[in-house]
Amino acid sequence: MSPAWLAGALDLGGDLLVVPLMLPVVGLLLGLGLGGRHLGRVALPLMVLGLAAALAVAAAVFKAGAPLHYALGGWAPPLGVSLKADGLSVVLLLTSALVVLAVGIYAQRPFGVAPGAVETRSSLAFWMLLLGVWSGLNTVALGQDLFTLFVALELLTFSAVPLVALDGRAETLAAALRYLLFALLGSVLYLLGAVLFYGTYGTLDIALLAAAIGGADAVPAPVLAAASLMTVGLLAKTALFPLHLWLPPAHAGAPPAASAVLSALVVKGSFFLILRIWFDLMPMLLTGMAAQILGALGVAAILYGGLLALRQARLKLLVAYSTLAQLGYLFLIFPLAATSDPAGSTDVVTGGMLHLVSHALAKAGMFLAAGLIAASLGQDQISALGGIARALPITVLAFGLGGLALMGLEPSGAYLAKSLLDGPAAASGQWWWGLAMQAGGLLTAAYLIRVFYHALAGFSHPPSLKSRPARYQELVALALALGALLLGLLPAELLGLVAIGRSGVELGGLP
Amino acid sequence: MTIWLRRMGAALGRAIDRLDAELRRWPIAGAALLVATLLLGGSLLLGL
Repeated sequence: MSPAWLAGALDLGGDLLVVPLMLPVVGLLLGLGLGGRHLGRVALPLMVLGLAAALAVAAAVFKAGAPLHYALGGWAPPLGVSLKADGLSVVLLLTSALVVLAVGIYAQRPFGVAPGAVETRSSLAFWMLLLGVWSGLNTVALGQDLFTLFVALELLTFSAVPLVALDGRAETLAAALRYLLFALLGSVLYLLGAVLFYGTYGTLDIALLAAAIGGADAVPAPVLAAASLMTVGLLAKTALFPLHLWLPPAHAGAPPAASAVLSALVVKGSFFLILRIWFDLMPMLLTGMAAQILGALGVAAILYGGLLALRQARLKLLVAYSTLAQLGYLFLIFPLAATSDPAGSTDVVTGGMLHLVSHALAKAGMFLAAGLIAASLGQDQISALGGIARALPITVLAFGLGGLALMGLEPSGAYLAKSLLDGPAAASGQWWWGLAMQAGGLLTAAYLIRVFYHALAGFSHPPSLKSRPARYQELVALALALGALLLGLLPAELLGLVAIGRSGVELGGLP
Repeated sequence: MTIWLRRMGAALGRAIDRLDAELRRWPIAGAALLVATLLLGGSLLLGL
Protein backbone atom coordinates (compact mmCIF):
# COMPACT_ATOMS: atom_id res chain seq x y z
CA MET A 1 0.00 0.00 0.00
CA SER A 2 1.48 3.33 -1.00
CA PRO A 3 1.75 6.21 1.48
CA ALA A 4 -0.89 8.96 1.30
CA TRP A 5 1.52 11.56 -0.15
CA LEU A 6 2.52 9.16 -2.92
CA ALA A 7 -1.10 8.27 -3.72
CA GLY A 8 -1.90 12.00 -3.90
CA ALA A 9 1.12 12.64 -6.12
CA LEU A 10 0.16 9.80 -8.47
CA ASP A 11 -3.26 11.42 -8.98
CA LEU A 12 -1.52 14.48 -10.43
CA GLY A 13 -0.51 12.56 -13.57
CA GLY A 14 1.49 14.67 -15.99
CA ASP A 15 1.19 17.75 -13.74
CA LEU A 16 3.63 15.98 -11.43
CA LEU A 17 6.45 16.74 -13.89
CA VAL A 18 6.35 20.42 -12.97
CA VAL A 19 7.45 19.66 -9.39
CA PRO A 20 11.02 18.46 -10.13
CA LEU A 21 11.46 21.40 -12.49
CA MET A 22 10.26 23.97 -9.96
CA LEU A 23 12.00 22.82 -6.76
CA PRO A 24 15.55 23.90 -7.77
CA VAL A 25 14.16 27.16 -9.14
CA VAL A 26 12.44 27.85 -5.82
CA GLY A 27 15.80 27.24 -4.13
CA LEU A 28 17.56 29.64 -6.50
CA LEU A 29 14.98 32.36 -5.86
CA LEU A 30 15.19 31.83 -2.11
CA GLY A 31 18.97 32.02 -2.35
CA LEU A 32 18.77 35.52 -3.82
CA GLY A 33 16.88 36.68 -0.74
CA LEU A 34 18.49 34.57 1.97
CA GLY A 35 22.15 34.70 0.96
CA GLY A 36 24.77 32.03 1.57
CA ARG A 37 24.33 32.02 5.35
CA HIS A 38 20.95 30.28 5.21
CA LEU A 39 20.76 28.83 1.71
CA GLY A 40 22.61 25.61 2.59
CA ARG A 41 20.11 24.79 5.31
CA VAL A 42 17.10 25.77 3.17
CA ALA A 43 18.37 23.86 0.13
CA LEU A 44 18.52 20.59 2.05
CA PRO A 45 14.74 20.19 2.62
CA LEU A 46 14.21 21.14 -1.03
CA MET A 47 16.58 18.34 -2.03
CA VAL A 48 14.68 15.86 0.15
CA LEU A 49 11.46 17.03 -1.53
CA GLY A 50 13.20 16.66 -4.89
CA LEU A 51 14.02 13.04 -4.14
CA ALA A 52 10.40 12.46 -3.09
CA ALA A 53 9.21 14.11 -6.32
CA ALA A 54 11.55 11.95 -8.42
CA LEU A 55 10.29 8.85 -6.62
CA ALA A 56 6.71 9.95 -7.24
CA VAL A 57 7.39 10.44 -10.97
CA ALA A 58 9.06 7.02 -11.08
CA ALA A 59 6.10 5.41 -9.30
CA ALA A 60 3.61 7.14 -11.63
CA VAL A 61 5.48 6.02 -14.77
CA PHE A 62 5.88 2.50 -13.36
CA LYS A 63 2.19 2.28 -12.41
CA ALA A 64 0.98 3.60 -15.76
CA GLY A 65 3.51 1.52 -17.72
CA ALA A 66 3.66 4.47 -20.10
CA PRO A 67 5.38 7.87 -20.23
CA LEU A 68 3.83 10.90 -18.51
CA HIS A 69 3.23 14.00 -20.62
CA TYR A 70 2.71 17.63 -19.75
CA ALA A 71 2.12 20.50 -22.17
CA LEU A 72 3.26 23.85 -20.73
CA GLY A 73 0.33 26.24 -20.50
CA GLY A 74 -1.87 23.64 -22.16
CA TRP A 75 -0.34 24.44 -25.56
CA ALA A 76 0.53 21.29 -27.48
CA PRO A 77 3.62 21.18 -29.75
CA PRO A 78 4.57 22.55 -32.24
CA LEU A 79 3.06 25.75 -30.81
CA GLY A 80 3.88 24.99 -27.20
CA VAL A 81 6.55 23.14 -25.30
CA SER A 82 5.97 19.71 -23.83
CA LEU A 83 7.57 17.67 -21.08
CA LYS A 84 7.78 13.91 -21.00
CA ALA A 85 8.90 11.40 -18.40
CA ASP A 86 9.74 7.97 -19.76
CA GLY A 87 11.95 5.25 -18.31
CA LEU A 88 15.18 7.04 -19.25
CA SER A 89 13.98 10.34 -17.74
CA VAL A 90 13.06 8.63 -14.50
CA VAL A 91 16.54 7.11 -14.16
CA LEU A 92 18.22 10.50 -14.64
CA LEU A 93 15.75 12.28 -12.32
CA LEU A 94 16.27 9.74 -9.54
CA THR A 95 20.07 9.64 -9.91
CA SER A 96 20.30 13.43 -9.91
CA ALA A 97 18.06 13.77 -6.86
CA LEU A 98 20.02 11.14 -4.93
CA VAL A 99 23.49 12.49 -5.72
CA VAL A 100 22.48 16.14 -5.24
CA LEU A 101 20.96 15.31 -1.84
CA ALA A 102 24.09 13.37 -0.80
CA VAL A 103 26.36 16.21 -1.93
CA GLY A 104 24.05 18.71 -0.20
CA ILE A 105 24.46 16.88 3.13
CA TYR A 106 28.23 16.49 2.64
CA ALA A 107 28.70 20.16 1.75
CA GLN A 108 27.03 21.48 4.91
CA ARG A 109 30.49 21.58 6.50
CA PRO A 110 32.72 23.03 3.74
CA PHE A 111 30.09 25.44 2.40
CA GLY A 112 27.88 26.05 5.42
CA VAL A 113 28.28 29.22 7.49
CA ALA A 114 28.51 28.62 11.23
CA PRO A 115 26.55 31.03 13.49
CA GLY A 116 28.68 34.10 14.12
CA ALA A 117 31.12 33.29 11.30
CA VAL A 118 31.62 35.62 8.34
CA GLU A 119 29.75 34.58 5.21
CA THR A 120 32.10 33.77 2.33
CA ARG A 121 31.50 34.26 -1.37
CA SER A 122 31.82 30.55 -2.06
CA SER A 123 29.12 29.57 0.45
CA LEU A 124 26.46 31.39 -1.59
CA ALA A 125 27.99 30.50 -4.95
CA PHE A 126 28.24 26.78 -4.20
CA TRP A 127 24.59 26.34 -3.24
CA MET A 128 23.32 28.48 -6.11
CA LEU A 129 25.45 26.55 -8.60
CA LEU A 130 24.48 23.18 -7.15
CA LEU A 131 20.82 24.13 -7.51
CA GLY A 132 21.58 25.33 -11.05
CA VAL A 133 23.14 21.98 -11.97
CA TRP A 134 20.16 20.15 -10.47
CA SER A 135 17.72 22.37 -12.37
CA GLY A 136 19.60 21.79 -15.63
CA LEU A 137 19.64 18.03 -15.14
CA ASN A 138 15.93 17.84 -14.36
CA THR A 139 15.18 19.85 -17.50
CA VAL A 140 17.47 17.59 -19.55
CA ALA A 141 15.57 14.60 -18.19
CA LEU A 142 12.10 15.96 -18.96
CA GLY A 143 12.60 18.32 -21.92
CA GLN A 144 11.07 17.20 -25.18
CA ASP A 145 12.23 19.74 -27.69
CA LEU A 146 15.71 20.45 -28.91
CA PHE A 147 15.73 24.10 -27.86
CA THR A 148 14.53 23.43 -24.30
CA LEU A 149 17.25 20.81 -24.13
CA PHE A 150 19.80 23.35 -25.38
CA VAL A 151 18.77 25.78 -22.65
CA ALA A 152 19.04 22.97 -20.09
CA LEU A 153 22.47 22.08 -21.40
CA GLU A 154 23.63 25.69 -21.10
CA LEU A 155 22.25 25.95 -17.57
CA LEU A 156 24.19 22.80 -16.75
CA THR A 157 27.40 24.15 -18.30
CA PHE A 158 27.18 27.62 -16.79
CA SER A 159 26.51 26.14 -13.35
CA ALA A 160 29.20 23.45 -13.57
CA VAL A 161 32.02 25.69 -14.84
CA PRO A 162 32.13 28.10 -11.85
CA LEU A 163 31.84 25.11 -9.48
CA VAL A 164 35.28 24.09 -10.72
CA ALA A 165 36.80 27.47 -9.83
CA LEU A 166 35.18 28.08 -6.44
CA ASP A 167 38.48 28.58 -4.65
CA GLY A 168 39.44 31.33 -7.09
CA ARG A 169 43.08 30.23 -7.51
CA ALA A 170 44.77 31.02 -10.82
CA GLU A 171 45.13 27.39 -11.92
CA THR A 172 41.51 26.51 -11.13
CA LEU A 173 40.33 29.61 -12.99
CA ALA A 174 42.43 28.54 -15.99
CA ALA A 175 40.95 25.02 -15.78
CA ALA A 176 37.43 26.47 -15.57
CA LEU A 177 38.06 28.73 -18.56
CA ARG A 178 39.37 25.77 -20.56
CA TYR A 179 36.23 23.82 -19.61
CA LEU A 180 34.00 26.77 -20.49
CA LEU A 181 35.56 27.30 -23.92
CA PHE A 182 35.41 23.64 -24.87
CA ALA A 183 31.87 23.25 -23.56
CA LEU A 184 30.82 26.36 -25.50
CA LEU A 185 32.33 24.87 -28.64
CA GLY A 186 30.12 21.85 -27.97
CA SER A 187 27.11 24.12 -27.47
CA VAL A 188 27.74 25.87 -30.80
CA LEU A 189 27.81 22.53 -32.62
CA TYR A 190 24.60 21.43 -30.86
CA LEU A 191 22.84 24.69 -31.68
CA LEU A 192 23.96 24.50 -35.31
CA GLY A 193 22.42 21.02 -35.48
CA ALA A 194 19.18 22.26 -33.91
CA VAL A 195 19.02 25.08 -36.49
CA LEU A 196 19.39 22.55 -39.32
CA PHE A 197 16.55 20.47 -37.85
CA TYR A 198 14.34 23.55 -37.58
CA GLY A 199 15.23 24.68 -41.08
CA THR A 200 14.29 21.29 -42.52
CA TYR A 201 11.15 20.43 -40.57
CA GLY A 202 9.99 23.69 -38.96
CA THR A 203 9.76 22.17 -35.49
CA LEU A 204 12.09 21.24 -32.67
CA ASP A 205 9.75 18.86 -30.84
CA ILE A 206 11.42 15.44 -30.63
CA ALA A 207 8.22 13.41 -31.14
CA LEU A 208 7.16 15.48 -34.17
CA LEU A 209 10.67 15.37 -35.64
CA ALA A 210 10.91 11.60 -35.09
CA ALA A 211 7.57 11.10 -36.86
CA ALA A 212 8.62 13.30 -39.79
CA ILE A 213 12.05 11.65 -40.13
CA GLY A 214 10.68 8.12 -39.70
CA GLY A 215 7.92 8.72 -42.23
CA ALA A 216 10.27 9.89 -44.99
CA ASP A 217 11.78 7.54 -47.56
CA ALA A 218 15.26 8.95 -47.06
CA VAL A 219 16.73 11.16 -44.38
CA PRO A 220 17.72 14.57 -45.85
CA ALA A 221 21.44 15.35 -45.86
CA PRO A 222 21.13 18.48 -43.61
CA VAL A 223 19.46 16.33 -40.96
CA LEU A 224 22.29 13.78 -41.06
CA ALA A 225 24.80 16.62 -40.82
CA ALA A 226 22.80 18.04 -37.90
CA ALA A 227 22.87 14.69 -36.09
CA SER A 228 26.64 14.42 -36.45
CA LEU A 229 27.25 18.03 -35.36
CA MET A 230 25.05 17.64 -32.30
CA THR A 231 26.61 14.31 -31.40
CA VAL A 232 30.17 15.62 -31.59
CA GLY A 233 29.21 18.74 -29.61
CA LEU A 234 27.73 16.54 -26.90
CA LEU A 235 30.75 14.21 -26.98
CA ALA A 236 32.95 17.22 -26.18
CA LYS A 237 30.77 18.03 -23.18
CA THR A 238 30.75 14.38 -22.10
CA ALA A 239 34.60 14.33 -22.30
CA LEU A 240 34.70 11.16 -24.36
CA PHE A 241 38.25 10.28 -25.44
CA PRO A 242 39.92 12.04 -27.29
CA LEU A 243 37.81 15.11 -26.46
CA HIS A 244 38.70 15.13 -22.78
CA LEU A 245 41.11 18.06 -22.65
CA TRP A 246 39.05 19.89 -20.05
CA LEU A 247 38.31 17.06 -17.63
CA PRO A 248 41.58 16.29 -15.78
CA PRO A 249 42.52 19.94 -15.03
CA ALA A 250 38.93 20.68 -14.01
CA HIS A 251 39.00 17.93 -11.38
CA ALA A 252 42.54 18.70 -10.21
CA GLY A 253 41.58 21.84 -8.29
CA ALA A 254 37.81 21.55 -7.90
CA PRO A 255 36.32 21.08 -4.42
CA PRO A 256 35.42 17.40 -3.83
CA ALA A 257 31.70 18.19 -3.74
CA ALA A 258 32.00 19.85 -7.16
CA SER A 259 34.04 16.96 -8.58
CA ALA A 260 31.41 14.51 -7.35
CA VAL A 261 28.63 16.44 -9.11
CA LEU A 262 30.71 16.94 -12.26
CA SER A 263 31.73 13.32 -12.60
CA ALA A 264 28.51 11.70 -11.42
CA LEU A 265 25.97 13.97 -13.07
CA VAL A 266 27.11 16.79 -15.36
CA VAL A 267 28.84 14.63 -17.97
CA LYS A 268 25.86 12.25 -17.84
CA GLY A 269 23.51 15.10 -18.79
CA SER A 270 25.14 15.52 -22.21
CA PHE A 271 25.40 11.74 -22.65
CA PHE A 272 21.66 11.56 -21.95
CA LEU A 273 21.01 13.95 -24.83
CA ILE A 274 23.07 11.76 -27.18
CA LEU A 275 20.78 8.88 -26.16
CA ARG A 276 17.71 11.02 -26.89
CA ILE A 277 19.01 11.92 -30.35
CA TRP A 278 20.12 8.42 -31.32
CA PHE A 279 17.34 6.37 -29.77
CA ASP A 280 14.28 8.65 -29.82
CA LEU A 281 14.90 11.11 -32.62
CA MET A 282 16.79 9.10 -35.24
CA PRO A 283 16.98 5.40 -34.35
CA MET A 284 17.97 4.65 -37.95
CA LEU A 285 21.42 6.13 -37.20
CA LEU A 286 22.16 3.06 -35.09
CA THR A 287 22.34 0.73 -38.06
CA GLY A 288 25.29 2.42 -39.66
CA MET A 289 29.00 2.70 -39.15
CA ALA A 290 28.59 5.77 -36.95
CA ALA A 291 27.35 3.55 -34.11
CA GLN A 292 30.49 1.44 -34.48
CA ILE A 293 32.64 4.60 -34.37
CA LEU A 294 31.01 5.62 -31.07
CA GLY A 295 31.62 2.12 -29.71
CA ALA A 296 35.27 2.22 -30.82
CA LEU A 297 35.74 5.60 -29.09
CA GLY A 298 34.17 4.04 -26.01
CA VAL A 299 36.67 1.16 -26.06
CA ALA A 300 39.54 3.62 -26.58
CA ALA A 301 38.28 5.63 -23.57
CA ILE A 302 38.07 2.49 -21.41
CA LEU A 303 41.66 1.44 -22.17
CA TYR A 304 43.21 4.90 -22.32
CA GLY A 305 41.46 6.20 -19.17
CA GLY A 306 42.41 3.02 -17.31
CA LEU A 307 46.08 3.25 -18.31
CA LEU A 308 46.24 6.95 -17.44
CA ALA A 309 44.58 6.28 -14.07
CA LEU A 310 47.36 3.78 -13.38
CA ARG A 311 49.94 6.52 -13.98
CA GLN A 312 48.52 9.15 -11.64
CA ALA A 313 50.35 10.18 -8.51
CA ARG A 314 47.39 12.07 -7.02
CA LEU A 315 44.29 10.28 -5.73
CA LYS A 316 41.88 12.85 -7.14
CA LEU A 317 43.38 12.68 -10.61
CA LEU A 318 43.25 8.89 -10.50
CA VAL A 319 39.52 9.11 -9.82
CA ALA A 320 39.18 11.71 -12.61
CA TYR A 321 40.89 9.49 -15.21
CA SER A 322 38.79 6.62 -13.96
CA THR A 323 35.74 8.70 -14.93
CA LEU A 324 37.17 9.01 -18.43
CA ALA A 325 37.43 5.22 -18.61
CA GLN A 326 34.00 4.51 -17.13
CA LEU A 327 32.30 6.89 -19.56
CA GLY A 328 33.58 4.63 -22.32
CA TYR A 329 31.31 1.78 -21.22
CA LEU A 330 28.27 3.97 -21.85
CA PHE A 331 29.19 4.28 -25.53
CA LEU A 332 29.15 0.52 -26.06
CA ILE A 333 25.36 0.86 -25.98
CA PHE A 334 25.34 2.16 -29.55
CA PRO A 335 26.98 -0.67 -31.52
CA LEU A 336 25.41 -3.30 -29.28
CA ALA A 337 21.88 -1.92 -29.64
CA ALA A 338 22.44 -1.61 -33.39
CA THR A 339 23.09 -5.29 -33.88
CA SER A 340 20.72 -6.81 -31.34
CA ASP A 341 17.11 -7.94 -31.67
CA PRO A 342 14.53 -5.71 -29.89
CA ALA A 343 14.77 -7.75 -26.67
CA GLY A 344 18.56 -7.57 -26.77
CA SER A 345 18.40 -3.83 -27.45
CA THR A 346 16.22 -3.35 -24.39
CA ASP A 347 18.81 -5.25 -22.34
CA VAL A 348 21.57 -3.08 -23.78
CA VAL A 349 19.81 0.20 -22.97
CA THR A 350 18.90 -1.10 -19.49
CA GLY A 351 22.50 -2.20 -18.93
CA GLY A 352 23.79 1.18 -20.08
CA MET A 353 21.46 3.12 -17.80
CA LEU A 354 22.31 0.83 -14.90
CA HIS A 355 25.98 1.52 -15.51
CA LEU A 356 25.21 5.24 -15.57
CA VAL A 357 23.53 5.05 -12.15
CA SER A 358 26.11 2.70 -10.70
CA HIS A 359 29.00 4.88 -11.84
CA ALA A 360 27.27 8.04 -10.59
CA LEU A 361 26.82 6.62 -7.08
CA ALA A 362 30.24 4.94 -6.87
CA LYS A 363 32.15 7.88 -8.29
CA ALA A 364 30.35 10.48 -6.18
CA GLY A 365 31.17 8.38 -3.10
CA MET A 366 34.81 7.98 -4.18
CA PHE A 367 35.32 11.68 -4.92
CA LEU A 368 33.79 12.63 -1.57
CA ALA A 369 35.96 10.06 0.22
CA ALA A 370 39.08 11.21 -1.68
CA GLY A 371 38.24 14.80 -0.70
CA LEU A 372 37.99 13.83 2.98
CA ILE A 373 41.35 12.03 2.79
CA ALA A 374 42.97 15.02 1.06
CA ALA A 375 41.53 17.47 3.60
CA SER A 376 42.68 15.31 6.52
CA LEU A 377 46.22 14.76 5.23
CA GLY A 378 46.66 18.15 3.60
CA GLN A 379 47.58 16.46 0.28
CA ASP A 380 46.42 13.51 -1.81
CA GLN A 381 49.59 11.83 -3.07
CA ILE A 382 48.82 8.11 -3.41
CA SER A 383 52.31 7.14 -2.20
CA ALA A 384 51.70 9.08 1.05
CA LEU A 385 48.48 7.29 2.00
CA GLY A 386 50.22 4.85 4.37
CA GLY A 387 48.24 4.27 7.56
CA ILE A 388 45.22 6.22 6.37
CA ALA A 389 42.99 3.12 6.65
CA ARG A 390 43.60 3.12 10.39
CA ALA A 391 43.19 6.87 10.79
CA LEU A 392 40.01 7.15 8.66
CA PRO A 393 38.54 3.63 8.46
CA ILE A 394 35.04 4.64 7.35
CA THR A 395 36.34 6.98 4.64
CA VAL A 396 38.72 4.36 3.29
CA LEU A 397 35.93 1.76 3.47
CA ALA A 398 33.71 4.10 1.41
CA PHE A 399 36.48 4.56 -1.18
CA GLY A 400 37.12 0.81 -1.24
CA LEU A 401 33.47 -0.17 -1.62
CA GLY A 402 33.06 2.41 -4.38
CA GLY A 403 36.13 0.89 -6.03
CA LEU A 404 34.71 -2.63 -5.76
CA ALA A 405 31.48 -1.38 -7.33
CA LEU A 406 33.47 0.19 -10.19
CA MET A 407 35.39 -3.03 -10.79
CA GLY A 408 32.05 -4.75 -11.33
CA LEU A 409 32.18 -7.30 -8.53
CA GLU A 410 28.95 -9.10 -7.73
CA PRO A 411 26.39 -7.84 -6.65
CA SER A 412 27.32 -4.34 -7.84
CA GLY A 413 25.27 -2.40 -10.36
CA ALA A 414 28.28 -2.44 -12.71
CA TYR A 415 28.33 -6.26 -12.57
CA LEU A 416 24.68 -6.47 -13.59
CA ALA A 417 25.18 -3.75 -16.21
CA LYS A 418 28.13 -5.57 -17.77
CA SER A 419 26.13 -8.82 -17.77
CA LEU A 420 23.29 -7.09 -19.58
CA LEU A 421 25.72 -5.66 -22.14
CA ASP A 422 27.75 -8.84 -22.46
CA GLY A 423 24.76 -11.06 -23.32
CA PRO A 424 23.81 -9.24 -26.55
CA ALA A 425 27.52 -8.85 -27.43
CA ALA A 426 28.01 -12.61 -27.24
CA ALA A 427 24.69 -13.37 -28.94
CA SER A 428 25.55 -11.17 -31.91
CA GLY A 429 29.07 -12.61 -32.19
CA GLN A 430 30.70 -9.29 -31.30
CA TRP A 431 33.08 -10.73 -28.74
CA TRP A 432 35.45 -7.76 -28.99
CA TRP A 433 33.10 -5.47 -27.06
CA GLY A 434 32.96 -8.04 -24.25
CA LEU A 435 36.75 -8.33 -24.32
CA ALA A 436 37.08 -4.55 -23.99
CA MET A 437 34.78 -4.63 -20.95
CA GLN A 438 36.85 -7.38 -19.34
CA ALA A 439 40.09 -5.49 -20.05
CA GLY A 440 38.54 -2.35 -18.57
CA GLY A 441 37.55 -4.30 -15.45
CA LEU A 442 41.13 -5.56 -15.04
CA LEU A 443 42.57 -2.07 -15.46
CA THR A 444 40.06 -0.73 -12.92
CA ALA A 445 41.14 -3.41 -10.47
CA ALA A 446 44.82 -2.61 -11.13
CA TYR A 447 44.61 1.13 -10.45
CA LEU A 448 42.39 0.70 -7.42
CA ILE A 449 44.54 -2.06 -5.91
CA ARG A 450 47.44 0.39 -6.18
CA VAL A 451 45.48 2.79 -3.94
CA PHE A 452 44.49 0.00 -1.52
CA TYR A 453 48.12 -1.16 -1.35
CA HIS A 454 49.27 2.23 -0.12
CA ALA A 455 46.21 2.98 2.03
CA LEU A 456 46.39 -0.35 3.86
CA ALA A 457 50.17 -0.22 4.36
CA GLY A 458 51.67 1.24 7.55
CA PHE A 459 48.67 0.11 9.57
CA SER A 460 50.62 0.36 12.83
CA HIS A 461 51.73 3.94 12.08
CA PRO A 462 48.67 6.07 11.31
CA PRO A 463 49.57 9.51 9.94
CA SER A 464 48.92 12.65 11.95
CA LEU A 465 45.82 14.34 10.57
CA LYS A 466 45.47 18.08 10.03
CA SER A 467 41.72 17.81 10.61
CA ARG A 468 39.14 15.09 11.03
CA PRO A 469 36.11 14.83 8.76
CA ALA A 470 32.65 15.00 10.29
CA ARG A 471 31.15 11.55 10.81
CA TYR A 472 28.12 12.42 8.67
CA GLN A 473 30.40 13.31 5.75
CA GLU A 474 32.03 9.89 5.96
CA LEU A 475 28.63 8.20 6.19
CA VAL A 476 27.36 10.04 3.09
CA ALA A 477 30.33 8.77 1.05
CA LEU A 478 29.80 5.28 2.47
CA ALA A 479 26.07 5.32 1.67
CA LEU A 480 26.75 6.30 -1.95
CA ALA A 481 29.37 3.57 -2.37
CA LEU A 482 27.12 0.99 -0.72
CA GLY A 483 24.28 2.04 -3.01
CA ALA A 484 26.47 1.37 -6.06
CA LEU A 485 27.60 -1.95 -4.65
CA LEU A 486 24.08 -3.19 -3.87
CA LEU A 487 22.44 -1.84 -7.02
CA GLY A 488 22.72 -5.22 -8.69
CA LEU A 489 20.20 -6.61 -6.22
CA LEU A 490 17.38 -4.55 -7.74
CA PRO A 491 14.45 -6.77 -8.73
CA ALA A 492 14.03 -7.38 -12.46
CA GLU A 493 10.58 -5.69 -12.48
CA LEU A 494 12.17 -2.41 -11.40
CA LEU A 495 14.79 -2.71 -14.13
CA GLY A 496 11.88 -2.92 -16.57
CA LEU A 497 11.20 0.73 -15.73
CA VAL A 498 14.01 1.77 -18.09
CA ALA A 499 12.21 0.27 -21.07
CA ILE A 500 8.96 2.20 -20.48
CA GLY A 501 8.39 4.50 -23.43
CA ARG A 502 10.85 2.66 -25.64
CA SER A 503 8.39 0.23 -27.24
CA GLY A 504 7.70 2.60 -30.13
CA VAL A 505 11.31 2.36 -31.25
CA GLU A 506 12.39 -0.84 -32.89
CA LEU A 507 16.10 -0.50 -32.36
CA GLY A 508 18.39 -1.65 -35.07
CA GLY A 509 15.87 -0.65 -37.70
CA LEU A 510 13.38 1.98 -38.68
CA PRO A 511 10.50 2.71 -36.33
CA MET B 1 63.63 -10.58 -18.18
CA THR B 2 62.21 -8.64 -15.21
CA ILE B 3 64.43 -5.65 -15.94
CA TRP B 4 63.43 -5.76 -19.59
CA LEU B 5 59.75 -5.83 -18.65
CA ARG B 6 60.21 -2.96 -16.20
CA ARG B 7 61.95 -0.88 -18.87
CA MET B 8 59.17 -1.64 -21.34
CA GLY B 9 56.53 -0.68 -18.76
CA ALA B 10 58.30 2.57 -17.90
CA ALA B 11 58.69 3.46 -21.58
CA LEU B 12 55.00 2.71 -22.24
CA GLY B 13 54.09 4.81 -19.21
CA ARG B 14 56.14 7.76 -20.41
CA ALA B 15 54.68 7.42 -23.92
CA ILE B 16 51.10 7.49 -22.66
CA ASP B 17 51.83 10.47 -20.40
CA ARG B 18 53.29 12.28 -23.39
CA LEU B 19 50.27 11.35 -25.54
CA ASP B 20 47.90 12.67 -22.90
CA ALA B 21 49.81 15.93 -22.61
CA GLU B 22 49.49 16.31 -26.41
CA LEU B 23 45.78 15.46 -26.43
CA ARG B 24 45.15 18.16 -23.82
CA ARG B 25 46.61 20.86 -26.06
CA TRP B 26 44.10 23.08 -27.86
CA PRO B 27 45.23 22.49 -31.48
CA ILE B 28 45.16 18.73 -31.01
CA ALA B 29 41.79 18.83 -29.24
CA GLY B 30 40.42 21.06 -32.00
CA ALA B 31 41.71 18.67 -34.64
CA ALA B 32 40.16 15.72 -32.77
CA LEU B 33 36.83 17.56 -32.73
CA LEU B 34 37.08 18.19 -36.47
CA VAL B 35 38.08 14.60 -37.26
CA ALA B 36 35.25 13.23 -35.11
CA THR B 37 32.74 15.50 -36.88
CA LEU B 38 34.04 14.49 -40.31
CA LEU B 39 34.09 10.79 -39.44
CA LEU B 40 30.58 10.75 -38.00
CA GLY B 41 29.16 13.14 -40.58
CA GLY B 42 30.91 11.33 -43.43
CA SER B 43 29.69 7.90 -42.40
CA LEU B 44 26.11 9.17 -41.94
CA LEU B 45 26.00 11.20 -45.16
CA LEU B 46 27.56 8.44 -47.23
CA GLY B 47 25.15 5.91 -45.69
CA LEU B 48 27.95 3.64 -44.52
